[in-house]
Amino acid sequence: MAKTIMVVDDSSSLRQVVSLALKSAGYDVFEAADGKDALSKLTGQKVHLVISDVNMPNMDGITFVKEMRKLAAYKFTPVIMLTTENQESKKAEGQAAGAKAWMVKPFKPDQMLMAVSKLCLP
Amino acid sequence: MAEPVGADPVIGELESDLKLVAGTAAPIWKRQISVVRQQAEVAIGELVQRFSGLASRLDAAVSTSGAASADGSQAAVDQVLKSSQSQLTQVLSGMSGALEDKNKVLAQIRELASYAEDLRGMATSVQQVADQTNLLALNAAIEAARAGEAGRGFAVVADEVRKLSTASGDTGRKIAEKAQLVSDAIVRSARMVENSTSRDIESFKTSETSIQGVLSDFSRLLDVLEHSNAELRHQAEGIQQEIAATMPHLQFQDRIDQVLAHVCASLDELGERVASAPEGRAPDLKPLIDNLERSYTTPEERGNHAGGKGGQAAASDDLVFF
Repeated sequence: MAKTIMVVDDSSSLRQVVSLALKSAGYDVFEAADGKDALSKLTGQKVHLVISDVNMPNMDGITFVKEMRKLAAYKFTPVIMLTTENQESKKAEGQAAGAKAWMVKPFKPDQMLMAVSKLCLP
Repeated sequence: MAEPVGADPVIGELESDLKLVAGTAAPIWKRQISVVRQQAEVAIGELVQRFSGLASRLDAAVSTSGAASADGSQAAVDQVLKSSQSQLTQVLSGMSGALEDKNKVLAQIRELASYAEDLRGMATSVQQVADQTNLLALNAAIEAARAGEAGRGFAVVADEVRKLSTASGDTGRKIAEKAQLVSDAIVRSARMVENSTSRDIESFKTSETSIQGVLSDFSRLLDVLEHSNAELRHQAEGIQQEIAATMPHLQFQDRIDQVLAHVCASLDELGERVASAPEGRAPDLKPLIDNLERSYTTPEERGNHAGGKGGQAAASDDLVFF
């Protein structure tokens, strides 16, 4: 059965690019436009991995990961932060919030798929 | 803290120009930028969707092509060929068996022909015996006549024997004729079977050659199909790699949008700061620059801000696992 991945980004074109890469590798994908939207969509869903932007309106990616960790079903779900930010201080914030990887845009699809398969364990 | 502007007419004109730039021009710039952002987002979204559709259709084509050639190898082609060869060889083997049976029938007919010939010879012998008996009966009749009254009874017997030998001779002739007819009919049948067998052998050889030809053509056709299938898969995989290589470039809209969003926010702040400055005082614009710098999310923005070259963002290798 295909793994389900949630893609959170305020840029619809970026969400589409990420979805295209993931779907071509056989993953099921659904999208959210920001942290708040993502939290509302997590309920009742079985998500194996989350890929989230950092800078987003309504709720940024770091806050979203912190809020997600409060949900019992998503305490250990792996998260990849996908952002244009490459500052070490930001990476440290992501790690502290509970992210498992930090990837800088623009990303290479094969590198992203490698990170996904590494974190998306059965 | 902003200094009082005073009543200097030059300063007053500057204040008016600043309000024009911040209150009128800046919102126009922001609207123009917003339109560009929206158009870029719609256009790039459309582009990504098209690429996505292209990739899906290629996936479908490649998997169909892969399914058609089983595990995509020569083994599938060889299997089909072997199976066809085996079935066609069975057909040839069946034809060969029928030919052997026909040859056996022909041998039986030839044997029958030799019996008919024997029969004709025996009939001729019977005819000769009858002729000699007839001659003997004639001599007996002459001797009976010479004996006079005493030989009369014997003459009657000799006459009956002569009649019987004549009938036997006739029957012998008829048997010989019939045996000849039977023998001729058997020889004709044997000739017909021989001709038919020759045609069958010829037909068998032609069939064998045709079957080998069909198998050879089939093999070539399968080779061509397999080759074009492999070429199709190769081309499709090449296009898929091209699409994958395009992915980093399709992410430029996200970066541009972020940069433009920060410029728009700064323009908003400029308008607010100028509008909220007390009458006769210069607006406090120093925080504007600090806030702009804080809003940056890309290395290019920081580079540009510092006066260096922002350049174009290349696909990043920056991936860290925590």
